[in-house]
Amino acid sequence: MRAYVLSRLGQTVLVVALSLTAVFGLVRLSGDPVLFFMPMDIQAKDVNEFRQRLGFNDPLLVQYGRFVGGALRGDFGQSLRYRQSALGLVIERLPATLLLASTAVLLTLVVAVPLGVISAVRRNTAVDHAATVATVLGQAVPGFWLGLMLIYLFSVQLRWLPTGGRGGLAHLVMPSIVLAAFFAARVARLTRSAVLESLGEDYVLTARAKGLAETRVIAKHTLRNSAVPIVTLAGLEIGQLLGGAVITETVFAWPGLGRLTVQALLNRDFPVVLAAVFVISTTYTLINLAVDLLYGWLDPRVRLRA
Amino acid sequence: MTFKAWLGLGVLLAVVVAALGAPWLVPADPVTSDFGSMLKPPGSAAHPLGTDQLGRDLLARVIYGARLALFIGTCTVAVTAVAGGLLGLVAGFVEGWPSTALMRIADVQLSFPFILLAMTINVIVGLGLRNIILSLSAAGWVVYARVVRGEVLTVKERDYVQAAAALGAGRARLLFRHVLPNVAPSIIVVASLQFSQFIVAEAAISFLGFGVQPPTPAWGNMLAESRDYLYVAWWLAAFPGAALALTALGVNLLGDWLRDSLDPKLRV
Amino acid sequence: MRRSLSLALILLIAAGVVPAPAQDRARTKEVVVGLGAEPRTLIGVTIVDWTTNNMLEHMYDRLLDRDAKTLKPKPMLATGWKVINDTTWEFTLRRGVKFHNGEPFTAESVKATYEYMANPATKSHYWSASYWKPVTAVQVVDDATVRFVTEKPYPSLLDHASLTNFLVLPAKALREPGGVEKLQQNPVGTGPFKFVEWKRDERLVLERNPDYWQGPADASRVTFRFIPEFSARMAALLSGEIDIMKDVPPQAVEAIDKSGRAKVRSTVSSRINYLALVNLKPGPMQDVRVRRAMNHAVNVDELIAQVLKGRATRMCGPMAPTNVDFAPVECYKHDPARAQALFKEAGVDPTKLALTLDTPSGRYPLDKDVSQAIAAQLQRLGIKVNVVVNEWGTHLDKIKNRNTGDLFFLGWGPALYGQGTMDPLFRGDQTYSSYGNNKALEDKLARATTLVDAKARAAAYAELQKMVHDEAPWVFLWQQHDLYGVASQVEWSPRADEKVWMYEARVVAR
Repeated sequence: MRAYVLSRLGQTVLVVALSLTAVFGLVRLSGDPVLFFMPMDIQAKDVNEFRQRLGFNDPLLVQYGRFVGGALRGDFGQSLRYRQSALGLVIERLPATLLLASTAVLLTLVVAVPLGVISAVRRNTAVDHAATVATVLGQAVPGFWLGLMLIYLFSVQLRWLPTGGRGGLAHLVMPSIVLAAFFAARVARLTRSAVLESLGEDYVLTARAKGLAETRVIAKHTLRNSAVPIVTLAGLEIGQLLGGAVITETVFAWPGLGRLTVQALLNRDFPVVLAAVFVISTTYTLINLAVDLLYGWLDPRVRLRA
Repeated sequence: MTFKAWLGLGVLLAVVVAALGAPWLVPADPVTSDFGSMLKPPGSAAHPLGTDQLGRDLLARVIYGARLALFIGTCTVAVTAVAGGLLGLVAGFVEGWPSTALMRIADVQLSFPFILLAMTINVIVGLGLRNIILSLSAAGWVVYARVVRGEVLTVKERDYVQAAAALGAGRARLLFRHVLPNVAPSIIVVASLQFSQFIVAEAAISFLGFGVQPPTPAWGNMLAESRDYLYVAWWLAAFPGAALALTALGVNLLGDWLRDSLDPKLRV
Repeated sequence: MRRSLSLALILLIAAGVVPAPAQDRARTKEVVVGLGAEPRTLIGVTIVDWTTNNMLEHMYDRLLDRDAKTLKPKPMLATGWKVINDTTWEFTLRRGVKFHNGEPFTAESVKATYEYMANPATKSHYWSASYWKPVTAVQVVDDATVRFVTEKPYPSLLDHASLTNFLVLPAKALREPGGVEKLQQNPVGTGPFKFVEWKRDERLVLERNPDYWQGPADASRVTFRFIPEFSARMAALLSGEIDIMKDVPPQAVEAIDKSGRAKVRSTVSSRINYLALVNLKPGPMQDVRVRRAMNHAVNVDELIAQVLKGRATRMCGPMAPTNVDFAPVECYKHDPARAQALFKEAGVDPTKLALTLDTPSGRYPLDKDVSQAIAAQLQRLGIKVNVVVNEWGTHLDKIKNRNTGDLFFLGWGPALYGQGTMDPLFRGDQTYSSYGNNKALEDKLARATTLVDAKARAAAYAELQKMVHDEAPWVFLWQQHDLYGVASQVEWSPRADEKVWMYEARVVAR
């Protein structure tokens, strides 16, 4: 077990290092970083002086060496745009994104899992059909469009909810619904099919034959066995949840990591892009590791091997 | 086929017909501006879905948009399926460092949300139709490579493949005659599931300011442009968004059915 | 599981409270301004960025101010100025002004600010040839007198001193060890508002400085909220979360006016928009007749009326009346026949002409819509125009690398003085120019930038504007109109220099 975790952590380090290298190479192809944050009426020679001073005139390999040296000490350099520690800027945004993502996951667990179970148990009833329609729509409707429509309805027309920004519970409602929609639809559908599958298994039939109450059969025997695929999917999807956060945060002006990353990309703020990649891929691989461990715990048949 | 599958097929067929028949279905040109009739609400005979900020017919734009959505979806799926599928085949079949290297690259890519990755690539290669297809493909091939490699690893242990190898069949022959037909269903299923992801991703990326650009009538940039008019011309956001959701719905329904009948165990 | 659920719930509730609704703000005299971006730094004279400086100006003062109407320099922290000789300017400073930390404002503050900016470690954008590098020294004559010495005659010094290019910092706080870092975290100026807090990507909060030397502001508290999406900003205005928003698209004016919560206020901006006809690379635009033909072919008035709904003011030459060096020139008339004749004269068949027009998207009011409309207008003469929409960074790269099509759309501003507009745009070796290789023009430009005498300067720039008009390096378009949505409990008028200046705002209960 310990060996497994250690080796997985080793792999994480490797993956993060590789992705940083790849992104470092890619962003340097995307254009001149200096021009971008300089005033437009500045003269060419002054621009060049700035480029020199910031080290962008050095050979790429030298720049990369400098980057690796800094990154090993946890220093991703200063944001070109804000003149602040790039990693600091990214870390500052992390709690907002985690709050949004965890609310969305919570919402999914509270709504989608029960919905999936109910529609499996009441298969082919009106409830099931309604749930199917909802989940199919949930997967098809683009999140940003849903966001715009919700703002229009609840903020502008009804004035029930704030349009965006971070604040109290009210601020969290629409962003987390939009972020959760797609995810919840997938989880609900998967729960339904997993529960359906295990309802046909022998042990469930046995449990029923023993005369156990139906709720107990479902709660005890079915759910635990259906948990494995649900957790797997959830793990896989959490990374995409971070991706969804990019769009949700933009639509709702939520001060999180996703929006910062998009802005940094648009502004060619390379140190911030790299720091964001570092934080995102580390978070993501660690979540995956956690999911794998959970997986082993839920289904003892799964043996974790290094 | 189930009812849902029929429904999906119906929706998709309607979109395909609209896309192919666009020039005959709508007389209006999707890119010609008419300064005399800008931002007209839907309902008139001349412009059933209204007009946009440059007086262009929205119906024409939505219908021509179907062309682009299908084009982007098809191209991206084709590129990713062929490239990812081939790489997966090779990686599964040839063990050793190339396989390991490939899977490491896959890991790296998968340590990053798809949409963010596609967007990053798009920033680097630039805007436009060709580049968005390129970006989505570069971000999307991994899924095929993974699934196919996994399938190959199991398929190749099967008796008949082993037997063929023992009989001296060449590698290429083994690969294409014996292994490929067995993994083809997975590729088809993944493709059908990816299709809607790609067209929605394209729209999302355009929405954030990258991707396909005007005057090309693509749903994504129509939606992006519509934001500025959300409070004056709801129809600019509503119709392209609905068309996008409807198409994704059709593809999803059909894809679900494909998966259920071809490869029920597959999870993407 | 249950415990983690309740923990999550507590976290959620602890996350904060809903902001005060508009009525409460009217009572406590608070103003919330919705801006598209946050400040890039809180210390003055470091980063050139209009949005940043707009917020900083509330905390810091400048040596000189500009009149809101005429845009001419007028006293601020300096009560007067005079020219000692061609390379020396003297400013008389206001006495009795104090910084927010209690430190007095003196000539030493001006000198310390200059030294901070000139320090290579600061990496100040202002330490460059187009800003303060021409100043070789700042000399303290006495507490209330300071001299700027320049390497050669530098008449634009006055323009810079009256813009946000010289926000005065406190000398003592700046010179302390670690003082710069402290000032970055906790900015100190002499301005009408004091710093309260900056929540990155969320808001910057300022409170009234009761001891402001021009008298305290009416607003007790100013909050800048950062909402990048226009539609989100507008939703926030309509739902009463913010009181002032910038950049209302012309089409949305009616919706805001009808909302009952806010009204649109507009002003003619000093920012100009133009269509560059690139002569720095081979192509039809190297022929002045073709460039003139383009000016006759594009119907600027139609673009303003139809696409911009009248929200722009036509400009006939390279400068607008908001520019201190403006001189009127005659407009090119929309005249397709004249355009045809000029094309013919140049030996160009418009129906065989295929041009590429590069445009940014969302940088200037309706930029890509305007570009598409221009393409549609040129199509009427049979000219095929391919519009390429670029992301802003790519657009800048293309211009810098001379990789654009024959035409590109760009805005410039705030264009308040001649040198700042002409120098970077009509000399071939400049980063963002589209036109060059005109020796006569460049010589005259070089001379104009050294003229200290006001009359000689006016004459020189008038001649230059006539020259540029005849050379037709652009299709001269317009001055933008800046449209602001202003909530009904706030009284505030926009300014031509794009400054959202809350010192001038009044909060009234309605």
